Amino acid sequence: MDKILVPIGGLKTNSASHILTTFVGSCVAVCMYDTQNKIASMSHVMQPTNVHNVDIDIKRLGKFADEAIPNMISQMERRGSDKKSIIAKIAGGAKTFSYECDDDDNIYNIGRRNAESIKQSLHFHNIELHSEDIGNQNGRWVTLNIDEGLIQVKTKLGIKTL
Amino acid sequence: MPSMMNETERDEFGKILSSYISEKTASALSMMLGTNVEHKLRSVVQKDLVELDDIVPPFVDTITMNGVHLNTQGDLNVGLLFYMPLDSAKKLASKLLGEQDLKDLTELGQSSINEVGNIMAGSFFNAISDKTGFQLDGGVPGSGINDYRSLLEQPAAEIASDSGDVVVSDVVLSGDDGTKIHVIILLNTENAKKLVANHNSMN
Repeated sequence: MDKILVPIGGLKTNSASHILTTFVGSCVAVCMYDTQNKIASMSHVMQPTNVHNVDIDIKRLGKFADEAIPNMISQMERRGSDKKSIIAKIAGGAKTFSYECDDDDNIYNIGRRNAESIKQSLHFHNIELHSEDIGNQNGRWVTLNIDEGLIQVKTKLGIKTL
Repeated sequence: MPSMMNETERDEFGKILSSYISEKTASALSMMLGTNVEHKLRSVVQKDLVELDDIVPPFVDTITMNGVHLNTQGDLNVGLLFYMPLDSAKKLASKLLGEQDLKDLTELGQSSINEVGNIMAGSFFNAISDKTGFQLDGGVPGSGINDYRSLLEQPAAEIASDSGDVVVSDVVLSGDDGTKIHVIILLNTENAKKLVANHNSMN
């Protein structure tokens, strides 16, 4: 089984006999899985939206939530996915820094804002969010085994299956 | 990635940062600790953001770190991440608060560490302004207890959000009392080159 590392801001799509993996802190790993065709995509989302309309090169297709989701769907469809068979799971969005004057809703909580933007984009593209592991303060290793459709999240606290 | 910095440019950039730390930041920490403080610039590397994991040393994720993050807006976007092992942070907080060894990093202890980061960052940002003429607006310090990789992600992502590249400078400040604070200085390549150009034109 080949393991493919999804870098920060990156996006990888593949099919059976592969494992996609990434490490996220405040960023969010978006995992999409085609349950019928065993095609999967993972992106490492850094920011909610491409507010400055920055040109994205091919290495950073997963960087912004609003662009990562359609990019993932497009790559999966090119490999033969049927959009109706795609489900999504997300993990990450840790609050890695705290501020003395803040609350969870303020602008510094980039993790929460990333997660909210991803959910909006998934909803907009009619992709079901199946499950999530968002928030807290821990960094997470996220792995997606494409053969089994199994997503595991490993933190210092242990391993959980999404 | 925008134009690369060659080795000579990175060396020059590193020497400039080192001079700012020597003149301002190390002395600010020295005054707070009441002890002599030396610093060492360990490396300056330019990375595409997708290569960020390359600079995370192996097995460092087994150490729980205390980190303080500050950044600037204005003429330059500069990110600073101060970090040290959590046990070292407890010792530093104990010293700053004049207490016996803290078993846990209390809210007051964390606040004192944030203030150290704030003063060190302020001295560094002032040095940049003095030597380059750039106007910088410093943000408020954010603190976190986590592994190094988790702490690094958000500051690096902020700096590289538009350009996709980041120049990472790794500095360690060591006090004669055993205090050791690591500082990661983050600029994108364009801003690093702007800093060098303005520094050279004014000095």
